[in-house]
Amino acid sequence: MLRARAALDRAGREEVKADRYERLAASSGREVHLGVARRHRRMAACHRSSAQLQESFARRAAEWPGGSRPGPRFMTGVAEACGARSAAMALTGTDRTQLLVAASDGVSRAAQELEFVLDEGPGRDATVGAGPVSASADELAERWPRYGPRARLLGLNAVMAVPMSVSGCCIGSLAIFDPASVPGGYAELAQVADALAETVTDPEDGPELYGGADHRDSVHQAAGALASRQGGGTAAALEAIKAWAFAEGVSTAVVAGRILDGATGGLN
Amino acid sequence: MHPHPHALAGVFVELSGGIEEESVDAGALLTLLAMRAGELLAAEEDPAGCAATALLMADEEDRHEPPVVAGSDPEVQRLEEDAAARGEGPGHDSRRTGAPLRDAPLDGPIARLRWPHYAPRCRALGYRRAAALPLRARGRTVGTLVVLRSDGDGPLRGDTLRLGQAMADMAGIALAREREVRRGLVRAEQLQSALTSRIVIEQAKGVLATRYAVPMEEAFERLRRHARSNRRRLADVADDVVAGRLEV
Repeated sequence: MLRARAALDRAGREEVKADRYERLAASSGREVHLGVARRHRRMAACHRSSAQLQESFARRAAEWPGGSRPGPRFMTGVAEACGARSAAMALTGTDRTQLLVAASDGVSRAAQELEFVLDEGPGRDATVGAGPVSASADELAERWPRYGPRARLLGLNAVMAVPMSVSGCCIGSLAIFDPASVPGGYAELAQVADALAETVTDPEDGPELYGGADHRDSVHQAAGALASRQGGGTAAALEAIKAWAFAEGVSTAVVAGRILDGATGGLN
Repeated sequence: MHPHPHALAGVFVELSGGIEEESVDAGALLTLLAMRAGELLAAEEDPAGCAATALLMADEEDRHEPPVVAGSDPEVQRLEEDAAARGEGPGHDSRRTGAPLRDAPLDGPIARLRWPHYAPRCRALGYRRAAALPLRARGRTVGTLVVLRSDGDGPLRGDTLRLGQAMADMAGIALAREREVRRGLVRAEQLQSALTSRIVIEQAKGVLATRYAVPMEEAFERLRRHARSNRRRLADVADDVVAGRLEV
């Protein structure tokens, strides 16, 4: 709750500044002051969203009975804040490859894996186009011929994705699946994405989301192992792992497990 | 002779860095502040000849960076760069105290005592009086706007000072925004770099574990040992291993 409190304090400070510049704008009639006030309001909204995400996670953590039941996921609160069935975040490199992923449940995690393997989908389009993306029902397959049909097989009917940016630099995307009709639409989703971007780039919070982030360590280890056995470099090995996973209908983590156990299937 | 209100409004929009969202360049903004302050304050203080310099000190977190200095003319800019390097002059004093320095005669005892290099050089350029106004960003004084005058019998008039301070405040808002944007960019780059490094390190572990038929922990230990004994970054060593440039 300390982090939520800190985010709320930051929101409060931004609101005080926004009030000040709005008063200045009223007395001076200067558009400049209104522009500054708008920026502070937006920052305040971002910190408030961030506080809500932290609070939501803290509440789930407090309610968690422990034991063998799966622990709470930070992304569950993100899905809830967006009024969606599930939500997934991917942090990407400058070449738009996924560096880290986090998802609220198995279905959104599987959808993210599809994007990783197929190199197409809503998250990728949101980062490449630097703008919001949405598709539902038949549009999914029309827009993404390989991703769409498989997403439908996962039981997903609609997806919305927005880029996550810090200071205009795109660091990834946030996708929500099967959203209820969100009154705020993209604007609300973009605000949650801003809050999430703020959280993951905050040196105190970081990108781990309380253990909910997946770096795909084993997949990258397997790419190294395969490259060592076959030559050809890790990029080619990673592509081979993705192709194997796609052909067998399993995740890249499963393929990685086999490679690290010494099995190489058809890759040798 | 007062500047036309429309001209003033235009200067204020320029100094705010525009009302759009994009970031501003700190050096360009300071140059703009120095130029416009030189012009507008000269018009206010008729018939005084005015020059202005704007000075932005480095953040505490990047102390090694030299201060950014801009002047309304090149000689004044060089003068202020030298003053910043020596840590003397009205700009330096006002920045330190956070208070405006309304007027200082450059041949007075205080100027001679406190600015032994700055004051004579300023006089040699033809300036007789100096004033300094703090440049504030996010509640802190981050630099100053220095106004030099070649004549004028007394301190700058109150409304001239207020105009100068308003210009400095407006530039301060834009500078605060610029710093915020820059910090955000640094954080984004650090995050992407850390995540990319982790991937390369995991790949290198996979390469070494396979090459030497050892567990991942031992592969990592090899990497770490090599990096430590050669005083290199772990990610750089991993990168070389993955690219086949290094055997550890």
